[in-house]
Amino acid sequence: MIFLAIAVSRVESKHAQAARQFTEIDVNHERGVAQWLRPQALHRGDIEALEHRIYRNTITIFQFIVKTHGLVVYQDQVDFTMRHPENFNRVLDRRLPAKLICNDLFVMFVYYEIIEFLVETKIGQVGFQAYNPSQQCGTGNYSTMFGPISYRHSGSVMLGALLLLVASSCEFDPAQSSNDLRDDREQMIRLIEDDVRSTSSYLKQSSLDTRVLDAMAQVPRHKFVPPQVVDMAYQNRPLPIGHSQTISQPYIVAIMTDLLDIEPGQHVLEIGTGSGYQAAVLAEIGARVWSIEIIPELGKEAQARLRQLDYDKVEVRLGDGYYGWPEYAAFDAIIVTAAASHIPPPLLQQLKPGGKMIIPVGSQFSTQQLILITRGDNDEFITRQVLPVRFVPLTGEH
Amino acid sequence: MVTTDARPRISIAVISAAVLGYEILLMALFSLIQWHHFAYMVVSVALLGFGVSGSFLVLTRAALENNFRNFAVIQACLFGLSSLLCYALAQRLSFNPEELIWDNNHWLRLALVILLLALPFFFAANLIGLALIRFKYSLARIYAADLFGAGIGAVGIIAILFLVPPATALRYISLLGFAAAAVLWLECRGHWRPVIISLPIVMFCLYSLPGSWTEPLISPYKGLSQLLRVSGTRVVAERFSPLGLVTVVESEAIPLRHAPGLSLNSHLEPPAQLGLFIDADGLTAITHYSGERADLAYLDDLTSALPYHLQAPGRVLILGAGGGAGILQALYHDAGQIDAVEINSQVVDLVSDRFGDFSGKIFDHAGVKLHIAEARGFLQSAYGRYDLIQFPMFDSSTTAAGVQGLDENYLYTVEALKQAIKRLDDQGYIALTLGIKLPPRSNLKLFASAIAALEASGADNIERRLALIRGWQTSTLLIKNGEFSTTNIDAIKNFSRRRSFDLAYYPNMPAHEANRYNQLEASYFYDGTRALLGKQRDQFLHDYKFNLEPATDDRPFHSHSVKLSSLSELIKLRHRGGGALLETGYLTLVITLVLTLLFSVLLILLPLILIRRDTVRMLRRSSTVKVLGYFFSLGLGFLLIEIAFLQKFILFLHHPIYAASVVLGSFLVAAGVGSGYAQRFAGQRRSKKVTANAVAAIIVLGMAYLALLGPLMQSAGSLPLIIRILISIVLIAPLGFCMGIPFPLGLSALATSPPSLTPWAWGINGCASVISAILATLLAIHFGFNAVILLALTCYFAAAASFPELISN
Repeated sequence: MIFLAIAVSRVESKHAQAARQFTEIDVNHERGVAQWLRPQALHRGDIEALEHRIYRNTITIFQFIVKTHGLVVYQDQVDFTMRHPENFNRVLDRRLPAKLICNDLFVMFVYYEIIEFLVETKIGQVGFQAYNPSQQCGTGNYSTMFGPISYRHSGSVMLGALLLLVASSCEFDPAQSSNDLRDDREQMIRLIEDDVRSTSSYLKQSSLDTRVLDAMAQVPRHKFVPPQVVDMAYQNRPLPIGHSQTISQPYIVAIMTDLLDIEPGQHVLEIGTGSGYQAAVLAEIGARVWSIEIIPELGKEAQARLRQLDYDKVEVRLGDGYYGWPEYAAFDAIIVTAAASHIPPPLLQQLKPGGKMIIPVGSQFSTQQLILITRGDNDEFITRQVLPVRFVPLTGEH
Repeated sequence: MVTTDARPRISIAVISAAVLGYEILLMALFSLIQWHHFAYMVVSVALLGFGVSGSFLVLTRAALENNFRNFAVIQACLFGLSSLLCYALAQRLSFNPEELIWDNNHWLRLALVILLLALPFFFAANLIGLALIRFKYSLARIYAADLFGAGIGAVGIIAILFLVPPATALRYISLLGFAAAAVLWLECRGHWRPVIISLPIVMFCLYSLPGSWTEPLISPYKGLSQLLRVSGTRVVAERFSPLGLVTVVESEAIPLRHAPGLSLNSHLEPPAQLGLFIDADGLTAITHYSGERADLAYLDDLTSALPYHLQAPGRVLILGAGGGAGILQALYHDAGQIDAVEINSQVVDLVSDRFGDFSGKIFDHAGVKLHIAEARGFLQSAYGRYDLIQFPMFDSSTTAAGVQGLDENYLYTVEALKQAIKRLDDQGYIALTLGIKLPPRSNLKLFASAIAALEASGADNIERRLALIRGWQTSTLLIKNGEFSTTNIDAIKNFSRRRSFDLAYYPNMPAHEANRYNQLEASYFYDGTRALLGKQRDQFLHDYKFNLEPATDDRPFHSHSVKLSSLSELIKLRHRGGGALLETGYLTLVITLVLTLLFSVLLILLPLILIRRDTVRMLRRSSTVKVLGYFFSLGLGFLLIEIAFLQKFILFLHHPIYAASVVLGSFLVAAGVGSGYAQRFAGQRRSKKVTANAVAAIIVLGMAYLALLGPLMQSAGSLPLIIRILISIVLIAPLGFCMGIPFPLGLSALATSPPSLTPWAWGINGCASVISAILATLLAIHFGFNAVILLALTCYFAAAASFPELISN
């Protein structure tokens, strides 16, 4: 820590001028690094350049961690950390010593990079704030896990951290990390396949459409869950996502998507966006998705998330799903994931002849049954009640 | 120095009242925060604090006995403090029962919740336990004060909950703890000055605590929390009583549109509605009614509308009127006279007065007569006959998985249906609408109960008196007081076809008509109903994976369907979409019992190991076993009887709250009197004989009640409430009196024994009480409450046989 203190004094003067130019803070959670920046004077290109810079150096930081602790860090985890620096530790092994310090170092490192960038690009009048919107920090201060710290100090500390990084020389292969995360997803897919095989008699099929499984293997589920449960993202279980809601069990998502029998280019309406994961899976198959979320906070988060992940084929709207989305009706498929006391008649009318609607019934953590409604050519609705569990024979041996 | 005659009897009564009040209050609070049976389970286990206290006192008795006053005052203060703080902390642990099947962390959180809640009981038990040790020559009187206080606490907290919300009642309980400390201080000849100074300070502190500390943090996964997430929703009214928290929610931006079971063919949207929640769950609606009949047309597209299509009912009985949907449905179908029964007067007030303009004052509508009564009691006492009796919609599918499985429900039992059949006019109908559970469970169970009720009513051609239809969401079962005619059957078929509801059963229904619109893998409902009516019924019930045995008053668990033999398979399937099949409440109960047994063994054996060196070696081995057997049996027996008779008297008093007050109050106060009476025999040779006599009386009374209570309650069931309360007290008092005798006499027998045995016995009794509370429910589910009483009587017999001999140094 001694040399860090020396570094503090050396860089202090360098950034004093930039610091004085900072104005009142604001928060923008829309995307990536921009969540710390109020781009009053920054252009989109500037932000991207800054993001690129921080991203590059983040990998270097991870390199250092990997080198000193012999840990494996996934590429996706780097991405995640970019968006949630407060969870820097979560993506590292829990055995990591002094992890709080590492966490703080990382946050400060990001600020250091921002300051450096501002100094270099000579952009003035830019306000920024720490990642935690509940913490109020004034001009020129950073809010970290340990409370407000002077930007000058944090920048200096990070310079020290960077010096340490320079000293490290280990090989780091981002592709390797990415592969590891993909392994997790594939493991999840294998679990789903096993479960489907065992429920085949109820589902009337022994395997799922490979397009569904391929899609699920592509969608980064860890980006659809909150930081506190990110390490469980690829477990085959529902997870709380805040706002009293959950992200469905992957197994249930797979079955529902499969039962809808979506073809690329088809139009799908989703009532209850939730985290946006189901919509992303549908989009990955090639469907065009219109999704309505009744809980405003949840809808906004999903909207931002899907945009950030470039799911351009998904459109999210906040509000009442009862009347569907008449402007884009009729739909080839409709998913009603939001709890409803009954199936809204307008939704049934927005289903194409031959189209399918699926509704999971049960509680947030246990799906009791899936209701699959098919609209016949003569406007008759046939319902199939599908149990997502193998429990036969019902009167067989115990 | 405290003198031996300064017995802290009032303070013991006060702390006991606070403890029992706290126990009941915690159940009310956690029923609101979580779900009822989890509340029951968590609080039951937390009572292990009594068991821990036994071990603690074994270790510390010597040091504490001579410093009784200071220690006891501290314990009372700690109870006052922890009763509030531990609750506030426990509810902040964000424990979610539904995640138990997914996440082991939640087991840890559950354990922490229990540990926190056990603390206040631990402190209170320390006080009472030490008083029993310290004043060993008058311990029967101390114990009498304990029981008497508990009885007052049971009645008192229920009275308080009519006046103030539970969060405020919690502060009163906390204050009562400090008050007990003050009384104790004065009883033990302490100076009055510290009391005068400290009590107002405590009162001020309790008064000025932030409301957020005690305000219940309702689970985010309960219906109310979910609805309040929608923008534009807000709570517009709240009422509290011991029957629970009633909440009314308005949704300004997005209409509620509550119409469970609405046909897929319906194009109708419900009119404006307000959400009505009891204990933050079980959404029903108060529907806007301006007198415009057309607004109610959607009610004709529910499965529950079926009976109105078979005949124009002149007289309709709506059980569980709630927000008034059943009344509106009857009004839409031009029912001549409607009797509506609702137990919760606060719901009635809200619908009639506070939101009277919105609801169209339906309870005051011409032809509608409201009865504020419990449904089962009304069925028993009503004199009229009806063309249609609509049971309340029982929606077990929308709540969290299996949380209702352990709730007793006396409205869906064979006896209740039999009473309802008696109230039917010739050719009248009973309509029972239920949420669909798959694979079919409660829906078929109700069908089996209906068959049993018709059999018990002496009806012939039972298979011609039943009909069952189902949508994807609800099923409606009709029981007819007469046989379904061809015209009736045609009406059922037309009604169902137009709404795409499936026919599950009607007399002589061909198989090909089943399972057409809401297709299951096989015609489970049709096959099930046929099997239940056929000669192979017993075989079918035996083979079926779920328990479809009819619910009875002895086993009133309509929603419970897990068979022990299927449990392991269900546990294996919990992550493969089978979580909803696994009644988490039942599973938790089984696991809790196992854990409690283990903990109890540990708590009972630990002191034995610790005191081995100095005292136990002085005892003959058989004496130790006797002490264990005696106090364990008494602990089991006392609560088993109390719980089982509480259930029996719910049926007699027709109200769970009155039953709880009367039964708990009478048992405990009578036992207190019995305990006081026992003081004269304490420490004497004849105490063994007195105990034997008391136990004999308990067994005789218990057996007599088992045989006679049913017929007696049947014949006296329609008497005025006050008379029924008096009869209940008269029946309970002698049993309670006798039950109060054995414990203090047994403890007195140990008074001259190596001193460590008294706290050990106290701990054993505490552990056994906890086990019995959990065991009672589990036994009742599988064998019925009569079996629980039989087991309790056996326990008393075992206790009498193992009465500890007087031991002296």
